[in-house]
Amino acid sequence: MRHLPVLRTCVLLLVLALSACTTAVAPVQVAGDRPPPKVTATPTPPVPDDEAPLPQAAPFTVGVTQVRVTGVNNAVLFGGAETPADAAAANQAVDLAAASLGRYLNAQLVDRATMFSDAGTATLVDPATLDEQTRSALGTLDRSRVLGTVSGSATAIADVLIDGTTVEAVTLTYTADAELVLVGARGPLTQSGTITFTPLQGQLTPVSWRPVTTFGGDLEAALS
Amino acid sequence: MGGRLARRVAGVVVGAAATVLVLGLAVALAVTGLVRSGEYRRGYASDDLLVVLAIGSDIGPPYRPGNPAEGRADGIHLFVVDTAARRMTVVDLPRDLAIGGGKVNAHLARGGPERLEAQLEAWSGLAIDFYAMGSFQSLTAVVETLGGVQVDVPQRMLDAFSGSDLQPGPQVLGPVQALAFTRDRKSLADGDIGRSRNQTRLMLAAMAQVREASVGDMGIVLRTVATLRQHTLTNIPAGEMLPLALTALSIPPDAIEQVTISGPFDFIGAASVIRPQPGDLFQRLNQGQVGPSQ
Repeated sequence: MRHLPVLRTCVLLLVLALSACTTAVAPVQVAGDRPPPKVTATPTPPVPDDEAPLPQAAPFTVGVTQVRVTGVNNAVLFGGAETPADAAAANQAVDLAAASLGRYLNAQLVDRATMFSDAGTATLVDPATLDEQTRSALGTLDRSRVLGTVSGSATAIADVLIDGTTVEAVTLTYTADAELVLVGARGPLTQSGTITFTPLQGQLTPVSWRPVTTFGGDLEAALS
Repeated sequence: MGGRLARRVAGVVVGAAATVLVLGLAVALAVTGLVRSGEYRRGYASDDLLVVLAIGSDIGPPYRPGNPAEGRADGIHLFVVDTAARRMTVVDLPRDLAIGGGKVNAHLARGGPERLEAQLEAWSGLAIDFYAMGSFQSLTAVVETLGGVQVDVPQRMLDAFSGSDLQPGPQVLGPVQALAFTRDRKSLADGDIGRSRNQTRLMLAAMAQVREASVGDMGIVLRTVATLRQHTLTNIPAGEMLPLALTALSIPPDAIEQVTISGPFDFIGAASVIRPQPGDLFQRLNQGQVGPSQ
């Protein structure tokens, strides 16, 4: 019986550690169905005392390594042959989607004016429609601790739904890597995710996004 | 002596447990790091009710050659959605209902989905936003995409005409039996009315299945939407299909109501019809009272 406190402490430690390093997926959320989160002013990242150059990643370019095209023409409903998918239209839409994702990644991870804030997220979706957990997963941090990022790269696989020449959806399954430097800590940052765009009001618009951001190395303890 | 042994055993057990826990902790930390995940879904934004007319034509290749838009509508359902409150009422309209001077299912053959939509708008007072029309193959294709649909079959169904051969109870229906389940009226005491109810039962079961699977895999939504696009005729704009699907999937099952319109049997000429008695259903829907009573 006298060993029970030790066991309890071990269990408590494990539970706390696991809950800190694994965050559950948020419940289904539809834009506009939640009260807007409180958005606080985000300070500019601090300047280190030793006046060393601030770490600054080169801008991200999302490299699309594979494009998978699914034709959604409905000729089969009438017994006809499916209209071939227009590969050029599919590729053009993928380029636009990848550029949009790249703008977000640069705003969130590279641009010192917007990095790790709601302003970065706002390049693709309205942060006011997101819950705290999703804003955090999209990279919003306490900016007062951020010094900068280095060595970023991003790749994606694209899935396109297309009816002839009309693109109906582009989904990017992506991974972006960088090294994040905080005051007193640094380590690898990886954001992986799946984002789907559809053409709304004449432009590709995100309709679904599942981001997962992982902080490794010293960042884990620093941000926990 | 016994007490000392028990304490030693307890000590070993605690020590071993602590070692396992610490190792587990180390492995967990090393493998995962600090993980933050989230989800965003943009639904279909509408200030008014969203009303979608789903039509199942009785013709269309390969089962019955011909243009499905010129067939009879043997499946007619109105999906009425309050997008803000995330509530839905599905109205089943059996094909024998007398609407617009004859059987409701004939309007498809006489003027395509647009005529059927206009007749239902005039009869119900609901403004229908979109229609989506499919054939037998549309249903089998979706069920195939989902790898079968889990349905609670309400009774024994055995009918040579539709091909149904089902025992009652929860089960996974493949494409062939799913189609038979939605076509069989002869096994049912209330015939076409029960068949219409079963059609929605299958659609809601499929929706629930996609909803559950999509929590960890958005791919299932994309594959289902792709299949629907390939196998339906619809006036839903290309970019709105996915937001509409995400809106439908965001509705909790307990916020979905199914109403099957019925009424007394009658005749128009030699044709047997049902005189629909919707009561105040459409009044309350138009007033925004959508979904089960609260």
